[in-house]
Amino acid sequence: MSWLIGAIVLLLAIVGAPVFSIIAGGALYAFHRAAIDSSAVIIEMLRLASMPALIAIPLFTFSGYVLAESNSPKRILRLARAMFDWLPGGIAAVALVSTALFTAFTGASGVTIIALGGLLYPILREKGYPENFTLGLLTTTGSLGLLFPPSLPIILYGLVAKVSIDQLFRAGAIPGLFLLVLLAVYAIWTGRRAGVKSSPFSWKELGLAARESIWEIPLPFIVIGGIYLGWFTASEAATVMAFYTLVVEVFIYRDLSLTGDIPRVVRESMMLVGAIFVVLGTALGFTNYLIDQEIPAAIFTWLHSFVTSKYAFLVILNAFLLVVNMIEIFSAIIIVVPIIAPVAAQYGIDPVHLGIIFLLNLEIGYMTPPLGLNLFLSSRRFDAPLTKLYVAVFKFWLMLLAALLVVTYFPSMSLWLLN
Amino acid sequence: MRHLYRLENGIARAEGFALCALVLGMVLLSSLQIIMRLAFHSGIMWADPMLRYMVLWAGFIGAALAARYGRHFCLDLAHKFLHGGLGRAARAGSSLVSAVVCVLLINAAWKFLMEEKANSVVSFSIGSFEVMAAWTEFILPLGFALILFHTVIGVFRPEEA
Repeated sequence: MSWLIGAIVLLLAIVGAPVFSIIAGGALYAFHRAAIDSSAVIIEMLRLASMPALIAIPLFTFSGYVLAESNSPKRILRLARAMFDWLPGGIAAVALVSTALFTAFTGASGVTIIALGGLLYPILREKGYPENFTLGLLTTTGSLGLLFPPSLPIILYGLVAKVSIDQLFRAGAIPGLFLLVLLAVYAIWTGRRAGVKSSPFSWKELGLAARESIWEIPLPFIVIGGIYLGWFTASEAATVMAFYTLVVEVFIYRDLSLTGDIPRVVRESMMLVGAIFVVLGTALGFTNYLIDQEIPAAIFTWLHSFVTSKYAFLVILNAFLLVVNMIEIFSAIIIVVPIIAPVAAQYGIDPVHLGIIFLLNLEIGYMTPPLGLNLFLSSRRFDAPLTKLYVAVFKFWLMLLAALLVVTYFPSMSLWLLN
Repeated sequence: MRHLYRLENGIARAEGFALCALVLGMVLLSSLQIIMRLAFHSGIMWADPMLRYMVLWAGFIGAALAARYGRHFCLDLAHKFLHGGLGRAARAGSSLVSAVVCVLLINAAWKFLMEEKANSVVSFSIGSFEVMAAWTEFILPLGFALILFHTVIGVFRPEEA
């Protein structure tokens, strides 16, 4: 019987039935079999309204879309170039820093490749970086920065796993920087070999670029600094950012008009939020049912009969997560985390550390062939066939995988800033 | 069919207006809360529960629009790799699944809402004014009804360029 259900779910997923309808169908069926009234699914769904940090999701998503639709990608890029372009291979560092920052602030929904990738590609090529390297780098950077606040996947993870979002924000800093440095070293090395020229440093250009983005420069300091220093919680930071970006982009820069552009930005951002909410809402009932049936405990018992070591478990976990996260990112967090978290806890893995492992897997999943989302976005944005991108990202993928191993087996990297 | 498409466009526009009002309202109300906390060490009692329900409404109306524009998360292997008749059949099949599930969810939400109404459950109070759960939670059946509506029309809607 359970095989039949599994086959039906797989078939529905393959024909492209929305994830929320598969989960809701599963929950309704499970409750029906357990002779529980179907309104229980709704009661669980309403737990959405009692999550105090939930407001961070719409507000951060909205502000991210506001930033992406304004001219701020151009301004960020100009400033980053004025700061780093004089370094040998510095332009790649520009690409890494600006995309990481942008991804963190726009919630890793894929807009980085669309908004910044298109601007960076011609610059990197013109400077002399090889085509394959450029494609690989920009595909990778589409999700770089996912470990920095205020990225949406971190917030969602915190909500679902019931781990403090502020703690996750702190824990992500060192692994995130580690990844950035690793890729920067590789990029600079490639730049040297390809004979990439650096531009002369100009105080005048730096001054002009800084004056142009004078209103956006404080934003990361207010939001990231405010969270790290404990001035405000994640949801308050979301409010501050939404208010600030709205005022700056609409009334100061006048990049977006309140009546012409903002309604479109609201609709676009709330469609993403809505898609997350219905999966989250229906999954609350379903995962609760699985936990009531002690499924995580059963998985642990079964797994523990042939995997006793925590380290072996982590290897299996990483392999599993890579596949799951490659397929669908937000749903993966919502469905897999509540089941995995108790199993990992039994193996003695710190919940915050597990969060960082999970999110780093997510970051890699975005660019994992053949189905990672970044690959499809890059293919469309840079007009390159998928197979070419598979080759282009391979070295970057290996590097990130190595970083994942380091982050997995050195928990102190993630936990150091918590104490 | 043409009238139905026109009706759907009207509904989608109304959803857009509602979203703008909700999002701007959330930004202003939550900003006000922070200012009150920092400046006067106080806050509006009903603002936090009110904000939580505004988030719920914005999310579900967003989900309705997401059904109109095909933005719900799915494995979309079929959308990526199946073209022509086979692709259309897969899309129709997946819409049917989601429509059936929506009907079941609307039924469940409605039953629940009637219970809340019968028990006169209060979500929160603004002064002495009691905001009933039957109003704040009305978005659940409404949201799934809108998703159902857009999903069903979507089966017939010609593909846009």
